Amino acid sequence: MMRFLLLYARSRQIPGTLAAATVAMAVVALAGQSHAAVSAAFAVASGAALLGFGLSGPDDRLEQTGARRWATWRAAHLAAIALVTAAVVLVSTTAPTALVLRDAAGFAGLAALAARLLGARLAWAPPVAMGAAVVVLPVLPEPYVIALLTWPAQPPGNVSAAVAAVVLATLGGGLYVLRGSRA
Amino acid sequence: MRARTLALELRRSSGPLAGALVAIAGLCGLYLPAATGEASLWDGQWSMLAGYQRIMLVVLWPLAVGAGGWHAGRDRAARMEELIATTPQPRWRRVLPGALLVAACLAVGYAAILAAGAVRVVTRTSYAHPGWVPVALVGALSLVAAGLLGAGVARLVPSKYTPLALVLVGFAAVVLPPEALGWGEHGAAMLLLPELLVELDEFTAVATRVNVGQAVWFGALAVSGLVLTVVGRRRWAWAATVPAVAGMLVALAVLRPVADAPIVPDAGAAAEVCTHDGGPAVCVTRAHAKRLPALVAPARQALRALAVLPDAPTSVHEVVHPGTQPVAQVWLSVDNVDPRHDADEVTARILGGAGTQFCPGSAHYRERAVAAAWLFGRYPAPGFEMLPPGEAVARDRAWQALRALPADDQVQRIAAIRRAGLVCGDLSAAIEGR
Repeated sequence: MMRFLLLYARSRQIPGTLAAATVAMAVVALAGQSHAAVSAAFAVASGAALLGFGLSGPDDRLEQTGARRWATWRAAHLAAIALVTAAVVLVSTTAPTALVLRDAAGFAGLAALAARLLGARLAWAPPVAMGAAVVVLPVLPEPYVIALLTWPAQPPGNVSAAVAAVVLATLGGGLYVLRGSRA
Repeated sequence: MRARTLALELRRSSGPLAGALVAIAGLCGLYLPAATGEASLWDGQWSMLAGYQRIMLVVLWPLAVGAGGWHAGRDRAARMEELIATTPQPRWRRVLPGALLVAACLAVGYAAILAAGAVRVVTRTSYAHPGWVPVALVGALSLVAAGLLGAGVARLVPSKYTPLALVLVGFAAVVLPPEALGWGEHGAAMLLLPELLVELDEFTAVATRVNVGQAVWFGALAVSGLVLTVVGRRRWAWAATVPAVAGMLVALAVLRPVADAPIVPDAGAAAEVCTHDGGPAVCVTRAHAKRLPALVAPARQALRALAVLPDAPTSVHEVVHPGTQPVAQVWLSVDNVDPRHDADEVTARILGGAGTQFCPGSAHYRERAVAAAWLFGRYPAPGFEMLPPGEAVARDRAWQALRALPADDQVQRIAAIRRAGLVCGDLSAAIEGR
């Protein structure tokens, strides 16, 4: 088991991306203390973007032939991404905990959705685009388009932001867990 | 570079997609403010559209860098790199068409944003002028430079992580300096950023030197990216720093004299357009020429109301900046020429301060409103209903005091307000007869 775990991590280049993601998230969250919600959201986005590269191995089809419950592994991997991004950002930001947890779930789902639809090589693009939208758009409750586009930085009580995160997490997570990355 | 090669690259490269993403992001940037009623940030004038588009480079520029990087990794992603390298063609002949195509697609995407904005601008202003074209061209050039630079760097560092790194570094490069220093003017080095850090209004333009300096800089960056992309051996990649450094030095030399004043007044936009129908002249700025027909009737109504005063004015002029107002003219601040106001409100606004200029710093809202109400014949005059807290009582009192005077004295007081307003004087002394 331990040996498999190590091989799995190596095949997905997890040590390198994890180190890079940790540094990136901490730097973004710490440097942007003056806009805590926005910087926390962008930190989670950049973490999910970097870790998203690991959502597929060098040869997924070959792996399929192995006698493993790959769906379980994919689910665990995705949950780990959400947990790691949440943990790193929570230590380095002053933004509310609920906001960080919501964003971690939503962005992990978005990265998974992108991996399923575009392939793991491009899984970073939608999270980064979403994160950039939060940085450049004003975070307002009205009109609805703006509220939805800036869901990651909306206050924790915002219902549509929570719904957006849940939809991304279940849709992206579900598709990825069932089907894996696009080849 | 045959047409067939280009057609093939068009189908097989990510260029069209990158251009489409630029266009879509730009459309969101233009029309999301429209959803919040803030389209006036860009739809008033051509130079505002071009300038606003340059502000959007905060997003478009990192996108273009990433798109260039993604394109450069195409052969490697398809595990074709070594196979293609065996063809008996020099590297530049293999990679140049694709790289230029991606750059061109980015520029086309930028032009598409301009076209989408133009649809709205033509309905708002009739002031057509070529002054905004360089601003737009420099923006497109900066995207071309971004795409080529991204392709060049991705060629030097061929990794699947490169496009993401390029996007993040590019985003940091355009967002962090203004975030750290704040918007506004911060010397020549800040003008090397692709995005415009000062907002343009209807009566300002970007100084020519700024456009020239930025064109030099982004042209040089594009050349550097091109060198990085096409150079045969990687050990010659250092040569790419030569155009970039030279371009930066020249650009800084060009930009330094205008670093404190990158934005200049646009005399053409502020020029007067007047009625020539034999009636009293009503004039607006050229940028607002479309609003003149709707302004004529309320303006002449205001002139009739002002005719009760001694030395009554005979023409109405929209002005951008306060100055020395002639006795025979009514001046109307540019902010009050707003198509959303109805005729009565426009008349009342013209009558503010008895037809005198609005002087920032000594606004005298109360006296201006009372004079408008007296001349308009209704208190409060339309358009003057909005009051800061506590002002209502004071304004009512000033109105009652004025109305309590004999009729001749009332005329004298309003005439005094007008005399004071002409020179940005003390309106409160005038209304109290001091």
